[in-house]
Amino acid sequence: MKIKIFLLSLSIIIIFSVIKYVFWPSAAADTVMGISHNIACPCECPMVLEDCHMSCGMEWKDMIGKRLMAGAGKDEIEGYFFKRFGKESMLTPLQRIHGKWYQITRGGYPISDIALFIALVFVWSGVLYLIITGVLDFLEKGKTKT
Amino acid sequence: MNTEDRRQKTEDRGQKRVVSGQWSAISGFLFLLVTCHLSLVTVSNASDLKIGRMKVSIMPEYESSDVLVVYEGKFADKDAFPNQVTFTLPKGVTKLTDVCSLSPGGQHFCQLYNIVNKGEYNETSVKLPYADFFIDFKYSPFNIKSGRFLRDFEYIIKLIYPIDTLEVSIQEPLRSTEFKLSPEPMSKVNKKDLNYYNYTFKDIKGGQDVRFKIKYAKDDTMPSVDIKFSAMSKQDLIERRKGIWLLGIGIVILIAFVIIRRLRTKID
Repeated sequence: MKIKIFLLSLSIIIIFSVIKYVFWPSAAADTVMGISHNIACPCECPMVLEDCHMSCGMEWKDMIGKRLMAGAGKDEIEGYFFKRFGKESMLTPLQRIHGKWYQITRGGYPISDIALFIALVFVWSGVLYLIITGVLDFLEKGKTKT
Repeated sequence: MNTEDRRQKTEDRGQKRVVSGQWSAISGFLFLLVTCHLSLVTVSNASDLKIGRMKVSIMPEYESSDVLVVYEGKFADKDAFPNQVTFTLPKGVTKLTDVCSLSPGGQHFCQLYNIVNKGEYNETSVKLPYADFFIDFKYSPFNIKSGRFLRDFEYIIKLIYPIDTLEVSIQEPLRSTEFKLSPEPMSKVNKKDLNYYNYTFKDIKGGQDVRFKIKYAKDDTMPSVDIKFSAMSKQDLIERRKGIWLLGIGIVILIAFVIIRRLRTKID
């Protein structure tokens, strides 16, 4: 039972972390990073633009920066990319998952960051496990009292 | 089956084993020979490599308080790739932002890398699938927290391979004064309100050091471009400081839970 609860906690934390990593932009919506979170890398690779650091990707990020400085909003900039470069420039959820997975497997992050991420997942799974078992104990004690 | 037949069969099996043993020895020897030959060929290829054109961009305090360095170029013999190549990095560089190879079709193949401390400098070894390469990293040759300080550092391009044409571009940080370079730059270009000082060197020998002294004063520690609008910003897997805090909080909660549980069981 305890193992099942821990596995459940681990799954919840992993799913939450993956959703956060893949779909949740780390930067504010009015920044280059915030907007490039939704745009595909134009360099014939499966990366998300925010992870793309090559000259072709940088040109697009530069365009976003210029438009932001000119006062354009997120929707306007995304609309501009859609009109100018077509729907290929916009990411579907599947493309985003693929891009983010590619970023991990290509060695896009240092091992220390990956180790920190794994440590966080395990520690917070432990916290969630203790919360769930605590709540279950409390409910069981309530039942035995009544 | 009589004893004679059995003996005959055992002898046959023994002979077969000897023959197969000989074959495996021969094939093992051939395998070793081929492997040694291939490794020798690879080593000789790696040491014979030559870079056709290489551009080094040095951008102090461009989008952070560090110095951004970009190496991009192409090895002269594209047929020598895939190949293991080595680049030197300034001491203190332990992380690269990107190490990629570009296919003729323009596809990017970013590679895994390792950084080795070589004493006076660091070295990265990477297997490139194509002759075109792109490496960028940041490093901190100065540690300035606030106030007006003179930045004075030397950037050494330590070359392993000979280069036909080496182009170097050094960017002058915005709001800096008394910007001085040594050797004197060959040309100056202004792009997007930033000054770039350029050098071109021809026929650089392998093992040669190309040194630049960069000196300037600046009243603040702010970068030249606002990170909010900068194309150089990049997403981390997890923000280091935030991650360490979250980890610490999680561990404290875990310890607190365990202590509370033990206390409760003692009371019960």
